[in-house]
Order: sequence, then C-alpha cells, then structure tokens
Amino acid sequence: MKLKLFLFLALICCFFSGEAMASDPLSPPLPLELWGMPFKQATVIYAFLAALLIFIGCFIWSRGLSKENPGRGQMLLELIINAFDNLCKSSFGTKERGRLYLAILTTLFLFVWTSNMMGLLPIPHLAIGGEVFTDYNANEHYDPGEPYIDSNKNGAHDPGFILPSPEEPTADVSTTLALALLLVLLLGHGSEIYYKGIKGYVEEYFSPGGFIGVVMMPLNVVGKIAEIISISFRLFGNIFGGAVIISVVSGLVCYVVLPPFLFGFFGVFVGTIQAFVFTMLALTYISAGAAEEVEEDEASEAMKV
Amino acid sequence: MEELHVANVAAYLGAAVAMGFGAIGSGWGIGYVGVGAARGMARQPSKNSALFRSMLIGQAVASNPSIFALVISFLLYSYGGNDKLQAADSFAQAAAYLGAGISIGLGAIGSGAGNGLVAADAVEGMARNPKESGPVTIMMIVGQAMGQTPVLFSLVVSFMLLFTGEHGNLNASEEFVTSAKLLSMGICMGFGAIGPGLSSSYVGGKFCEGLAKAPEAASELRSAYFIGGGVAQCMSIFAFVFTMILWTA
Repeated sequence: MKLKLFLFLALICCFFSGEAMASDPLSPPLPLELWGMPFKQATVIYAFLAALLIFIGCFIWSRGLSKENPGRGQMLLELIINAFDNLCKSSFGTKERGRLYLAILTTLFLFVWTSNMMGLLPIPHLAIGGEVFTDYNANEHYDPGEPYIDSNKNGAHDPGFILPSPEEPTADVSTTLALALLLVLLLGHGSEIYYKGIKGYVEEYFSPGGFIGVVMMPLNVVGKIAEIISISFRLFGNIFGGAVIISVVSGLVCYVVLPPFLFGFFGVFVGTIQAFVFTMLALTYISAGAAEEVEEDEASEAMKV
Repeated sequence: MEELHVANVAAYLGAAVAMGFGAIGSGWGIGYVGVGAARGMARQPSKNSALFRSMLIGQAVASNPSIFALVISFLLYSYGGNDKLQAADSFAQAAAYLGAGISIGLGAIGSGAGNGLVAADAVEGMARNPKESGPVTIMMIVGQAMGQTPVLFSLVVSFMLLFTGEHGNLNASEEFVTSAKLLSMGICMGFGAIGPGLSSSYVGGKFCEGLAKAPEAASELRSAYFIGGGVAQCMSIFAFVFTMILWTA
C-alpha cells in the first residue's frame, strides 16, 4: 500500500519535471520560475539533500538496535528521542497526547538542524554538461547561478545541469515560512479545531470574554499572524545573517585564520541553538491549543516521572 | 568633483546608525548576564561549570539583536560602496536606506537589553535551585526568543526597505512624499520595538526565576507568562501594523 503511494507520488513528480523541461528545451532541469514566482535552485536542491541525508542517516542508525548491548549510536539516538519525549509529555499534559506530536517535532528538529549545517558542505559551484560561457568579463551582470543569456548572439547558452554551491535552505524565507505555516497554521490551529471544535476555536479569539473580548478580538487575530511572522523570520534572520557575516568577514581577512571559527560559531553553534528554538516555539504554539487538560494530581505526577 | 550620490551617502549613514545604536542593547545585556552568573556562582560555588555553560548560551542568544543590526549594516555598507548594486540614486532611495538603518538600530536596543535580563534571572534561578536547571534552561531560550519578536519586526521592515521597490523615476512632489513615508516607516518600527522588547523579556526573566523558585506552579506560571508577555508585545504589533499602513499609503 505504502509502496504504491510512493510510486504514485514519484510519477507525479516525474510528470511535473518533464513538463517543465518540455516547455523550453534549453531550460535547466529545475524551472527557474514556477507559476510566476521566482524559484531558487540552491534552496530546493539542498533541502532535498538534507531530507535525503536524514533519511539515509536514520535508516542506517536504526539498524541493529539491541536492548542488551546498546552501542554509542543507539545511546545518542535514545538521548534525543527521550529528551523530546519528555518535552512533549510536559507540554501536552499526558504521555499519549505527547506521543502523537513526538514524531513530527523530532523530524522538524533534525531537518532544521541538518539544513542549518548545509553551508558547511565543501561542494564547489558546478555546471555539469552543456555549453557554459566562461568569459565573465564580457558581461558584468553575469550571475553563475542563472543561465547565461547573451543578448548579442540572440539566444541562450545551454547551461547544462547547474549544481549551485551549498546554501542553507533555511537562509531562504520561503523555506522557513513554509515550515511555520505547516506547523503553526496547519498542525497548531488544525489540532485546536479538532480538540475544541469550531466553537471553542472561535471563542479563543474572544479570549477574556464579554465586552473586553470583543475589543481584544482584532488584537488576538493580529497576534496569531505575528506568531507565524516571528517564528519564520527568527530562523531566517539568524541563518541568513550568519551566512552574510561569514562571507563578508572572511573576505575582509582574506580567508586567513578566521573563517573556521566563524563557521564554528555562526554555522554550528547558532545553527544548533536556532534549530532548538524553532522546535521549542513550534511545540509551545501547538501545545497552547492541543494540550490535554489534566487533574492536579496527575499533573504533578507527570512532572515527577 | 563628481556629482553627489545621495543614496550612497545615506547607505553609509544608515550602516552607521544601525550598528551604532544596535550595539547599545546587546552590549548592556550581555554584560548583565555575566552579573547574574557571578551572583549565582557566589550563591552556589559547587555548580560553577554548569552556570558558566548556561551563561555562555544566554550570552550567545542575547547577541542576536546586534547580529541582525550587523547584517543590515554590512548590506548597507556594500550598497554604499557599489553603484551597481543600488536600485536608484534618488532622495527616496536614500530615505529607504536611512530608514532601514534606523529601524533595526533602534529596534535592537530593547530586545538586546531584555535578552540579557532573561538570561541573568534564569542563571540566578538555576543557582538557587540546581535540580530545575533543565526546564529553566529551556524556558530561558524560549523567553529570549519571545523577547526577540520586536527586533524581528524591525528586521522585516529593514529588509522590506532594502529589497523592495524601485524608488527612481518619480517627479518632485511624489519623491518628497515617498521619502517621508519610507523614513517614517523606519522611525515608527524602530522606536516602537524598544519598549516591548524590554518589557516582554522582563516578564520572561521573572518567569524563569519563578520557575526555579516554585517548580510545582509551572503550568500557572507558564499561562501567566504567555498572556503577560503576549500583551506586552502588542505595542510592537501596533507599531508593525502602522508601519504596514504607511507602506500601503
């Protein structure tokens, strides 16, 4: 059943990519523009690479688990899963409710963390196949990421398959906004409607109730929108800012001594902290609507365990 | 003597304003985390290394607002030095650059100082009750992230002013009005972010301290914090909404 679904999805993907290629034989395999919106190749390629790395990594990681003789990798895996399990349990009230959201939140953390680390990959800018225009000085607006269009020769050069140099997918606002919409809007608001019903969900916007609630309604609505803006732009600002600082300061010191430390701080340290912050905020926003009401005794017991 | 490029001058000015004002808040805040850690270490000398680690995490997150200011400053600096990067050389473009600098520069003051308050209170709380240091560390990071919401609005407005809109090809009266609009967007968001950044972080700091003092009241404290901090952030949301109104005007 799952295999059939997977094959179906793969077919759909092939169809769309084939259509994009058929529209212009000279265009690169990934469209530069989709439905009138700009399309950043580096973001898409490295987001898929991150997902692939997580998939392969976790697949290998979870082979050969044993109860009696856990290895180092298993201990680390258990540490991560346990930490998120405890967080979910304390935020969602009960263990069962927390387990419902455990998988997506852990996956989110792994994806955001791996995406933040993508800038560390030592991949040069590559153009595979195709006729590449190499005289950069002839056109001062030449951008290696875009197919080169020479207006004098009345035609586009075929750039072949372009593999852009690594860029963090999270340094593109479309990735972070998509993640924020998926988690806060779909999962957070969706599960709030599921658990409280439409009536309970709407009442949330008139939160203190009575006349004050009516006055506060627009504020609550704007506050909900602000949640999405702040969660997505926090991640974007940190990662994009880190990338800008790394490139500018590395250039200032002529790529001597400092760049590894810059990558260590802005790449690894800030990337890890921001991945955790993003996951924690998503957890907080989702659990605000979806937490299970527990009795006092149960709550204190749940905190102890 | 070449002709005067107004936009280049404004880009340099904006870069100076962004970094100069942006360093105030985080500079004070990062130092204050150290004060909190020192107090905590005096209270609980056996937990020195754990407190030191938490202090470093708190300081790293508290430096975020000034890092945002640094980024905008670098971008403005590169616009100032390079004629080709720039969209247009007009008074409106100059106002956009200056507005971007003012927005992030002033906006970073409150959040930077506030993030320091959160981390200092949290580290002191950890020293008071070392058993609760796990949940307090998590809530410290969440509190700092909540305190950064106003500076993120400032960042959004700065990016909007930098990257959107071609401000060339305007006639004299249009250019005057557009310049005023773009500059006032930066001023509105910049000043509007100072108070909420400070106050919502202050709520977060006291919440971390309370969580360490009374872990059994965690759920009550959490709901009080999210309502209190959320209401404190309303003012920055007002400023953001008004900035958007100015943008569409």
